[in-house]
Amino acid sequence: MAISHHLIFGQYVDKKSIIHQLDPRTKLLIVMALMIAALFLTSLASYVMLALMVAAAIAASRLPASYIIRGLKPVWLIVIATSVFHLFLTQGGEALIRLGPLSIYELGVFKAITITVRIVLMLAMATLLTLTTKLSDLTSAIEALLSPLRRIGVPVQEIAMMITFTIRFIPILMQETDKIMKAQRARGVDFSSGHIFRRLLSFIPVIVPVLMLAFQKAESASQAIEARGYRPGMKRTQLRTLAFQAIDYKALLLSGLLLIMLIALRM
Amino acid sequence: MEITLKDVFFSYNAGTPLENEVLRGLNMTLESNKITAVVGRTGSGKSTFVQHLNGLLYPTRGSIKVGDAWIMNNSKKKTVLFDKVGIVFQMPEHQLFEDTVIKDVSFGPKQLGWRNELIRSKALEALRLVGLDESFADRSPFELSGGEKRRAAIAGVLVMEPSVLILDEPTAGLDPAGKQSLMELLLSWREEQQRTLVIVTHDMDLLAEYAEDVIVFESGKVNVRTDPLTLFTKYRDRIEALGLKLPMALTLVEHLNARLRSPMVINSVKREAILAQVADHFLVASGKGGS
Repeated sequence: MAISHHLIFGQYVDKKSIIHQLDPRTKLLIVMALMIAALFLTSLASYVMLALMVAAAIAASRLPASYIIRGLKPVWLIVIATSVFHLFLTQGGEALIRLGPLSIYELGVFKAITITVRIVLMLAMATLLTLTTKLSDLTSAIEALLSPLRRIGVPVQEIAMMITFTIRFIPILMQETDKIMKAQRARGVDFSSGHIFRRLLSFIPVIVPVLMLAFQKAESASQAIEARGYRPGMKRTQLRTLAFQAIDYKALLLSGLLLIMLIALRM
Repeated sequence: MEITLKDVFFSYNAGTPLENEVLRGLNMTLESNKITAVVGRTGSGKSTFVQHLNGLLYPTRGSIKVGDAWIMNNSKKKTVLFDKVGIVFQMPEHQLFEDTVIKDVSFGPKQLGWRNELIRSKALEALRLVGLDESFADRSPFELSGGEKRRAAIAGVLVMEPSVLILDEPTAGLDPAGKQSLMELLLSWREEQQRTLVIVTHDMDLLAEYAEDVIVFESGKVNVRTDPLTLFTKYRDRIEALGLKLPMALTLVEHLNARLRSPMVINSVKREAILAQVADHFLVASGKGGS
């Protein structure tokens, strides 16, 4: 069973849709604004509205919703754990159920539900962003949006380069991990049974070779970019420059309006 | 050990937009005691196919019978038959992880729960088989040369004494001498117990020299299954279309035949045999005799 099979987050799926066509800066800005907004939602109406917006974006992306839901799979445990904590530890409102020392209050139920909705919505937005945006575009967008910081001496280009390399190497290292896991399974390692300590130990035959490979690949990648003239701190030009289209202004305007409505709704 | 496949289908990422059907209805029997070469262009499904033979992958549909064990989609526990069918992957040297060679070779047997004394003697035997003497046992695998690393990694699979050994591009990245000595050690391994070898390869010279049975994959199906001589004679016109090419010695014969009045008819695809036949042909033609 491949790891990459479970991790939907971070994979680009090529489709022709409005969402795919948007400038990466537009998408990044909107997602960041809505994520921050999601943290401050209070009223029920505002939650419903944000959920509708995310649903509309998913529909416009032409990706099956089931795919986004699968992308949420790895974090279900975190979501459940957080909501259980909120359920039992928040006090306020009427006590609904008393179980000895534990009791569940109205406010606790409300908090548990809202925190779940919040995490799910935020993850859905992030997943949608990475599913519809090429990695190279995303890093150009990060670089473009961070570029004002260059004036105060932040090495924006180097940061963008590091992000690109980090994200670029995730699938490569996952592939290598898959390969080595297969090779070790073929030598009798069973990654899926036994108690937790045993399972952790069974990963040593994978971690050691993957680390060795990661060092080798980092070494050869840095030699390759240096051989092609990369020097930290030098001005670089880009093959593809980002340019806003009419659709981007429309999308930004629309999201701006919706954001104002969200703020109005939370009052 | 005989392996039988019935209607085997397999898709990666089944049920997602990235679903990719790789195997499309395989029916075949791999007989014992044969060297089978699996060939086809990149992405034709050959690597996926061999990973089904020991249960690293389970088919989406259909069944595989390995000796008396079954590999099917609805099998309750999807176990890997690692003691019956050994796989040596491309660049097996990447799987080394222990601090000494002997520990790494002993890794599989340990998983099988063998006794410690038995593990040590079998590990040393496996190392000897791949041409690494006892002085290698306590060295770190990371300080060996590329070829030695590969031998050590192969020993780590052979040590479990599988009855079927699958090799995915075993000679990739080796020089001609390294290739030949690796193949010789595999042949001697096989002689001992009449075991089955399955070799996935792009190397037509390797195929011509060693294979007894050839399975040509195309788009997840078996396009041709035959012996090397028939493949390169009867199916000559399909070779390029299948993403294959002629072995070097056969290319020589074809080039010569294009200029000869009476073309040579080959009856073996092994390099030595072809060269002898070519030599004979010219000796006879020049009136100097020959056999």
